[in-house]
Amino acid sequence: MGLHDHDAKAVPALSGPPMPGPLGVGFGCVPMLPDALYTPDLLDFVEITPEIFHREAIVEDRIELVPDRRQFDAARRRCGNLPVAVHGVELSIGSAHGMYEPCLTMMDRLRQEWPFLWYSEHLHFQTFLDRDGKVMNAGVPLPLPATEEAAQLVASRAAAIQSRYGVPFLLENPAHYLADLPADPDIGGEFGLMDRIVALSGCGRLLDLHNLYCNAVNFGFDPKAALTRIPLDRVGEIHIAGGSWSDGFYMDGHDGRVPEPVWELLELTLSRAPWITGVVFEVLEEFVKRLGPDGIARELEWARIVWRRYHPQPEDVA
Amino acid sequence: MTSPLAAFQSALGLALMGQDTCPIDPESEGFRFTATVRRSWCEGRATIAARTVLALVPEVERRRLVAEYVDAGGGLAMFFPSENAALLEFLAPRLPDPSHALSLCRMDQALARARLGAEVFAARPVPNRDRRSVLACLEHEAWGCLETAMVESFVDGHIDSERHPRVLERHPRARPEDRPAQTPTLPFGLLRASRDPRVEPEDDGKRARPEDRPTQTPGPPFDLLRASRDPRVEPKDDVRKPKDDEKMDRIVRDRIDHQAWGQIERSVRCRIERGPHAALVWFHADPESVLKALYGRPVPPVGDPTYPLLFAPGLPHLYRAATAEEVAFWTRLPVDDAMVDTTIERLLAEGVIVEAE
Repeated sequence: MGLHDHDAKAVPALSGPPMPGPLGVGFGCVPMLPDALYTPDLLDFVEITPEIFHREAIVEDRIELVPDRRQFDAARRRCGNLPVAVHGVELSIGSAHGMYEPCLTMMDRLRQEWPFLWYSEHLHFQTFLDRDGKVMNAGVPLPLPATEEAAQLVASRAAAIQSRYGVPFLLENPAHYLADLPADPDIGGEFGLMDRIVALSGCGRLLDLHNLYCNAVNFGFDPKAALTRIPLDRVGEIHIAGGSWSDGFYMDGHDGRVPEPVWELLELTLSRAPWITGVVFEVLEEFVKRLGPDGIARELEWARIVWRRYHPQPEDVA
Repeated sequence: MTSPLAAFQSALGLALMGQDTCPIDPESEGFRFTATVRRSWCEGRATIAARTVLALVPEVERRRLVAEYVDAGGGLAMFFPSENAALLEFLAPRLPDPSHALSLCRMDQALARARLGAEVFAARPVPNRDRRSVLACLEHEAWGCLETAMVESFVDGHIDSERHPRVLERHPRARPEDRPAQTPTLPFGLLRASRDPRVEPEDDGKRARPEDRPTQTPGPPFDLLRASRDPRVEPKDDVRKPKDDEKMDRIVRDRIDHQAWGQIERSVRCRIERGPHAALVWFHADPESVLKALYGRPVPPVGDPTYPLLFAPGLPHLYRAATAEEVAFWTRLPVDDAMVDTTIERLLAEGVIVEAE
């Protein structure tokens, strides 16, 4: 099955490769932070976003993502002693016209050079075709309508990606501000869309609790009640983050400490997620200075305390 | 046929760019806020991409430049280096000249190029350019150029081969049986040997050394070449009306020699050119004080361009201060062959520059 088989109607229900088992707390590879943060004392794994270490280049008349060697090697030196997961941000898996193919070839090379335990992407689209058929970049990730067509499209691609890399592929629930998206009655809404894709493709879920919280605040639903409706058996990873208010909306800004309601959601999820491998605290690089290394370390330490309540280590039991 | 999903995505994407295609309520708070977030992301990407340059631009001007860039479709690049390159190119002609911001802009561009080059750069041993090796290279070039010039002369149709067998016999494609038994004036046998890639003259380690050549080899006709550069002995344009064979032969010979000298000169000049990943950037104050201004120190006054920095992939940290000698040398270097072929020839034709005697 091709990665771009838009009209693939019969995507078989699959069960993908297994997650590697509980690891603990992870964090992104942020160049401006001290190396001391990236030790097994504080982190159990690192989540890299490979696009950060790559640039676009024309290779034999086509665009490829080639590693920026200086940054790539620096990242490897810093994080090489920790297990690695990959969190991509530019694939645009939901774009009807096609995914951003260079990301896949980038991942092919990365798999050889710096093997990863699992791979995750956002469930969204960022590129589309204009009236002349030219690929345009929206400039911001946009949510998919909850339709069977969207589910089939993403499921076929997710299954192909999972097969291509031989590791679990997880899709992340997005934060967005569009309340009146089209939806098929039998899909329902954003949760139904994710359920359908997971069932069709055999991929896993990256449950971003801060995104869930944002949408709950902005659209006026109870996140804890929503959590009880989400099948958590395929949640392989959890994201937590901080946000901020702007123009009456609560934004997924990744710009501060994790709010208390998200910590509560984390406790609820960890108690019911048998497939979970780790929790990642997210912060954008431009806000790292605001939190500071100590502030980040405190969030990570707290995440580890919460994690160990549900995944105790031998020393915890003793 | 466009699928409903593709149609929805195009309509929503274009609507966020200001077109009247919104597939959901364009007046909804969510749509308007998404458009605001999009704009903010684009401006944010641009600001981050040129953080250094924009730091020394007054706040109002900075906002105006970023807004103009985003209005023009900027701030959408998926990858930072692409955004950085596009924005710096946008900013360079819009920043005051001279200004520290423009110096920083050119510095960022130079650094990006040098960084790109550093990924593939491998330091090469400095070629031996003592007088002997230079002469060997010149000799090699001379024969190559003479061959080219002669072939061109034939192609131009200036030579009647039946009337001028002495010229024909020098041509490398002449049949061996047509050649005189005596050693020809121009040693094409050697010429071909020296142009064999296996015996190139020494320069890059592969070339043949002068001592490898036959001892009987006549040297290149440098005296003749120099003489031919005398305007008084310039070859005549019209070689179609020779009065006799001897005169024709001399004219052709002069013409070939003249062309050869020009090509040798160009070849020698082309041998060194600016590296594609190198740049020279002028600062109008001590670069260190300009960089310290990015961290809150006082901005130094904009003075004369007296602080040149050299950027190249093989430099430690990719840059260093350039000496006056290096600046003078850099300024004289051609950028690439195309420049030599077009700019220099145009300037020569316009009398802007002349060939040095």
